[in-house]
Order: sequence, then C-alpha cells, then structure tokens
Amino acid sequence: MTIRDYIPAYNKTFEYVDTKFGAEALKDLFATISREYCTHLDDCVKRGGVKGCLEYWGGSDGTLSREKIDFNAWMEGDEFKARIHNCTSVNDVRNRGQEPYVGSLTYCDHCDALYSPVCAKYGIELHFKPEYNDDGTCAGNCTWYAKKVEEK
Amino acid sequence: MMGGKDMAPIREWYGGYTILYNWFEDRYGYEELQKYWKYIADEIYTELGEKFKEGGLLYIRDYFRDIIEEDEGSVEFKLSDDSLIVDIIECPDNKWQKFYDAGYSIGRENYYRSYEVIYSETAKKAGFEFKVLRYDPTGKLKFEFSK
Repeated sequence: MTIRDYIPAYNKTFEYVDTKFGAEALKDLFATISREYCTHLDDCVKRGGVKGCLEYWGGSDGTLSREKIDFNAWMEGDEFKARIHNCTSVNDVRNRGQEPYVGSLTYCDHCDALYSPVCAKYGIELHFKPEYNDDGTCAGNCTWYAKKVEEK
Repeated sequence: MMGGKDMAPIREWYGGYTILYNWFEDRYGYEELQKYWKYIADEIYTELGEKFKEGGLLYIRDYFRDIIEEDEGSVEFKLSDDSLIVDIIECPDNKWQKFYDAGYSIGRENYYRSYEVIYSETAKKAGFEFKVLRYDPTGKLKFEFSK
C-alpha cells in the first residue's frame, strides 16, 4: 500500500480493531506501535530530556514540519508545549470521506497512547489534549505538553 | 471540515504498515490478517476500484506508475488490449523499510500478500481478473490485470 493511504488506513484500522476485538486490543495495538515505531522520540528524549520533545516535534527537520502540519512548539521554562491548528492528519481522514474514529477510544487518542509511554520511561509526563466539538467529533485542534515529573 | 490541507506522507510509514500487519498476525493469526486486508480493500479502495473500472487498464498502469515512482521505486509494464502486466523492479515499501529500519520495519515473508489481497479485491470491484505471476518477499512482484 502506498503511504498516501496510511492515515485513512490507520483510522479504519482503529475502528476495525475496536469494533471486532475490543478496547483492550486497540490499547495493545497502540502500545505495540509506541514500543516499535516511536524509537526516534525515544532517542531524542533519552538524549535531551524534556527538550528532546522540541527536537522531535519542532524545528524545520522535526516530524511535524515534515508532515506539513500547522503547529507551534516551544519551551516555557522547563516545560515543552505545542499546539496543532486544523490538524492535517484529521483533514487527511476527512478528505477521504471518513470521520476520525470515535468509539471506546478515539482516533485522536492514538497520539497520547503512542508518545506518553516513551516519555514516561524517562520520568517525563507528556499528555495530548485534543479538542472535541459538542457532538464528540474532533475539532481539529490539539495542545500537548511535556514536563519532568516532580520527585517527592 | 472538508477541504483542509493534506498531510504530507513520510516514508517511515512503510515501516508502520509492517507493525500493523505483524500485530494482526501475532495476535490473531494469518487468516485474520487476510481478513483485515480485505476490510482495508473495502474501506479504502472502493473508490479506486471505481476509477479502475472507469479508466481501464491505462488508468491502472498510471496508478501503479504514480505510487511506485513517487517514492523512488521502479516498475515496468506490458500493456495489451485485454491485459496489463505490472512488473515491480524495486518496491518502495522495501526500499524505505530498509532505509529507516529501527528493528521493526522490514516486512515478513508474507508482507506483500497485502498487495495480492488488496489489489485482487480492488480488481474484482472493477470487473478485472487479478493474478500474481511472481511473488517475492522483497516486493519484486509481478502481477496481471486482465479483462
């Protein structure tokens, strides 16, 4: 399959797994993708801590620029913050006549499920906050942050 | 909501397909993986099947030329009135899976059965027969669409 079909296929895969095998199976799929695919983020965070998130997502060579996503990413003190406007991944799904999957988990949940465990390995809390419309559909905007977990 | 800017595909995603396929096979077996590919053909390639039907063998040739050459693969064709043979010399999946390999990317022996299932289903939607003439685990596939 061409990678031009990856995002709509991703969306439909989540729907298929959740509907046929259940939420636990979909969580397991997310965990597998996180473990196997997110090695670049792992390298960045291992090397740079919270600032590794900026290296991974930000800048002209970062993942979001290469995917041509409209975003801002910055450091605020020791905290990494980012915002996606009019998410192109969601647009890609909608431009193919689909709606981002909403079931026991949503299409948007995959970002948090993929990237948070990678950061957690290094004592970093990372969370995505996708915006939803009143009817539960994705609003296309999302913010996320990463910060070092306070040691008690 | 519609009509927004499209996402630019990145070539690491060829390895993403490997993860999805391996996950299905490891958790549920090869038969379930084949069912998944059929589902993807129905959900993602129905429109392509209509285009194949409308544009015929010439459209199918251009489609494969586009998807293979835009990711720096290489393909040759043999076209006649009632048949198109697609001969993949270098498959982009294999090329980029090797390039970005981080231990997970390279497809298994049956990775390219995805082409067989998905394009066989798509051909069916368009009223063509589809036959694999050469299977190769590195993607040097040869297949035929015929009327």
